[in-house]
Amino acid sequence: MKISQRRAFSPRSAALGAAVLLLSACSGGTQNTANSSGDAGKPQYGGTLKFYDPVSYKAWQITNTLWSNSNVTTNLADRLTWQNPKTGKIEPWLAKSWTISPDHLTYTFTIRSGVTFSDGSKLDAKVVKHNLDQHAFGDKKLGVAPDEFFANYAGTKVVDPRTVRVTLSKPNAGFLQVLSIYRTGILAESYLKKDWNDKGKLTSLIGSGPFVVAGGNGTTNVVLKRRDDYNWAPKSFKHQGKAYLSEIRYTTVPEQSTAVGALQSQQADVVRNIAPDDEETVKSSGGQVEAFPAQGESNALHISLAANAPTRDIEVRRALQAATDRKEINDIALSPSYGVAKSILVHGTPKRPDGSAYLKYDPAKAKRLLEAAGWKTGPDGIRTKKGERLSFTLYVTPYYQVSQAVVEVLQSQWKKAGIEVKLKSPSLSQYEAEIGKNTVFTQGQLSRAEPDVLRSEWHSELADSTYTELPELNTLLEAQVAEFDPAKRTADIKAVQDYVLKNALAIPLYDETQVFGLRPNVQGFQTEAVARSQFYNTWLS
Amino acid sequence: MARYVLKRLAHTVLVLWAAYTLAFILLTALPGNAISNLINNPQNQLTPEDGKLLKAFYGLDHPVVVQYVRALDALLHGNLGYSLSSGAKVADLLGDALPGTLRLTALGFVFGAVIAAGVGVVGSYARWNWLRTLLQSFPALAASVPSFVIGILILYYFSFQLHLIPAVDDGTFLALVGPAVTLGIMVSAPLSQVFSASIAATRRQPFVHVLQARGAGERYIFGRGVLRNSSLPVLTMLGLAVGELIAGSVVTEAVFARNGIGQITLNAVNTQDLPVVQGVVLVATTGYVLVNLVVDVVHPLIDPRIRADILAARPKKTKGSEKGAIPARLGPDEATSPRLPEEVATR
Repeated sequence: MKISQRRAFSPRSAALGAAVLLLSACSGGTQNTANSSGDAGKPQYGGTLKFYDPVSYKAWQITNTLWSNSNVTTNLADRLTWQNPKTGKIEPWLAKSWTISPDHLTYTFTIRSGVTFSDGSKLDAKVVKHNLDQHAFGDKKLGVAPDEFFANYAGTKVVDPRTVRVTLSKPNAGFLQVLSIYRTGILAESYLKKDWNDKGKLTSLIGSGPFVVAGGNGTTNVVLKRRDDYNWAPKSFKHQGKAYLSEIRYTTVPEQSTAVGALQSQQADVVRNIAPDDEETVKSSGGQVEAFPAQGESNALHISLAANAPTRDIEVRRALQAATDRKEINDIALSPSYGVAKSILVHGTPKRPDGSAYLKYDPAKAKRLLEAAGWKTGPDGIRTKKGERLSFTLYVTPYYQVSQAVVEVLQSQWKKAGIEVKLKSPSLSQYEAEIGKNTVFTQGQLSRAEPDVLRSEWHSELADSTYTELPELNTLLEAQVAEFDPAKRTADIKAVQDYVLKNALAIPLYDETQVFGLRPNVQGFQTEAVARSQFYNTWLS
Repeated sequence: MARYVLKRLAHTVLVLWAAYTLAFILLTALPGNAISNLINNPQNQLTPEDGKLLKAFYGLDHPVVVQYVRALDALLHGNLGYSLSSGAKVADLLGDALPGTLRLTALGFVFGAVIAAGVGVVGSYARWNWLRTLLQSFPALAASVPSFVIGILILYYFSFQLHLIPAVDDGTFLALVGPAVTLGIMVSAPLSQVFSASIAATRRQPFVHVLQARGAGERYIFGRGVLRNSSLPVLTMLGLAVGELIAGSVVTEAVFARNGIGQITLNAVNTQDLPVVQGVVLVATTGYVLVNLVVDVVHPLIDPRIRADILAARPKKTKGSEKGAIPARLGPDEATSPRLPEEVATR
């Protein structure tokens, strides 16, 4: 899944943020605990919520994982299953119940009755099959590519109008979770028939969700209206029936300072992606700051073993790991809203193993390892070996708003160990055109509230983060996804992490987090498991 | 005159084609394109096969020359193609964004012209020296403060503090005022600079002295001679200001979160969305060229000398009556017709 927190207008944003901070000489303020708003009495129906997003909207295919788009689509399309973001458990949604065959290859789902799409068509086994088939196999004529998440999907059989039998070619412990992701939202037949371009239109998204598209141009604004006949929310939701809000207005506001100012002056209700520097500004005017860990991988530097660089030496990689002070990254570049990285998975992700033993800041160890590897301190403090300087280029990654601040802190930390870091700050298209197997460090993370996300990242047949086939790692990754015993699977995930961190293939930096700014009267704000705002339970007091 | 306009229109078509082609070459010369960037981004989890499918779907698997000829052919048939990042028709995207930008730039232009006129006239004629000095320093100040700072200050005071205008476009006229003033201040800088200098230069012309000697008041001289003479360079600047307005709308639309050509351009360039960039280039060039055409057409209406030049360039009418037209018009009624410095001077 793609994480795209585009830093729109970054240098200017920083300057503007500073300008506004200077101007708004506010003092004092209320503290707000992260997650779930305070008690404000009985929920009220009605009202329009204004949601500001820094990133403009791109194509509306359901599989588009862009943050801005998915914050909308998760409210439009219900899924077969719902993953409880607090417990990580998979609960029934459009699938009322299911059974799994002993070999874990056949799933029989009973489809909930009485569910309709917003165009009036009915949810039945046939349309569910069509949805899953199109994900798994794509459709060449329509320009639809197969979906990586459905890699071992063999097919679906319609047993009766309310029952489907899904067959996999290989067991997949994360399959029920795949069905819970917003990008697997079940859509009406009319969407499935459209070609890739037409699927990209906002109005094509006909789902069975609590909200429907009511307007907007689909690039800088979107208007959703409540469906009054909605009555099929997951059981664990705080209420049933229609949603509280009658309307949601999404607007692209690329300037952070404009968005924060609008929030402070009560013109916006929710602002996504509040910068660490702005959190205090929001709180000082009585607003709420709510942070949600984007479950999945921690934001980390992934090291390409194919790149011709000193990092081919495991001791150098381990030294970099030891020279990285994650607590300081959090203190200087981020805020308490972000978790300090203690694993290759973000806290809250199911079956996350503790990896802090590998991630201790130990400058003495870093120096020792580098000395042993033959890297001696040169006259300017930077280590050299046979005339080669220990020097790396780090990219300021355009997807992450906080990337610049984080890599700057890293630059200063590594310098203390005698490692030179040059920073490069490319535009998005420049970045996407440049990165590849010769890029030593790629900052990234995939978010999915399922430890199998590690397979997507590290398996040599999938994203192949090291650009090198590591058979042992592949085996470990394949083992965990075929393991259905929870305790054994937890151990398998730990084995994967042990391999990745022992070999220092990744340098975790921080827990990927989404920070929202809320007006004081926004109640019951929540997100689905990967921090996309789910507005069904939200209301305005 | 009709011939002149026709010739200029032919130029326009040529300029449009050149701009379109240049933009195409520039964007294809850059490394990567919208689709391969998508594939290269490991976060997207697209396999190279998925990429091939998408490339084939958008016709990007053909040689660049074929792509260019196809795009040009489609353009001649009125088809601007589809956005590679949103899949929407480029014509729809532009059609949706253009009215907003037109409203914004038009009002920005009005504010700019009013501010420039005010600064130019008051800065030249104000009785108090301090006011003249203050206003004469305005162009330099307005040109050196970035428009996003002006925008954010306007937002801060008028929206966040006083709640007079909405921070983000809500479709009302009120939401247009903030960004339009921001743009207006930006374009008024060069306009007022040129206008002030031009007024000063005109006031040094001998015909002004003659008028003064005849006992005419400043207001009369300004209205009858100085204004027309000193507005010619400003008129030329107005044409250029349109380019600045379009460029300025990128920043202004972002600060005030307005959907428009500026925002579209920014996103399209960021994602190397070639068809959209091409569409924007066409629209911007058309606007720029048309305004400059209007400026060129208006010039002779204000300045009889230019009109005389155009007429003189036509071979059939060089002899006889036309050449004598100006003295004939100026001659009989000196008091009511506009005086031109040279003619007054040669008398």
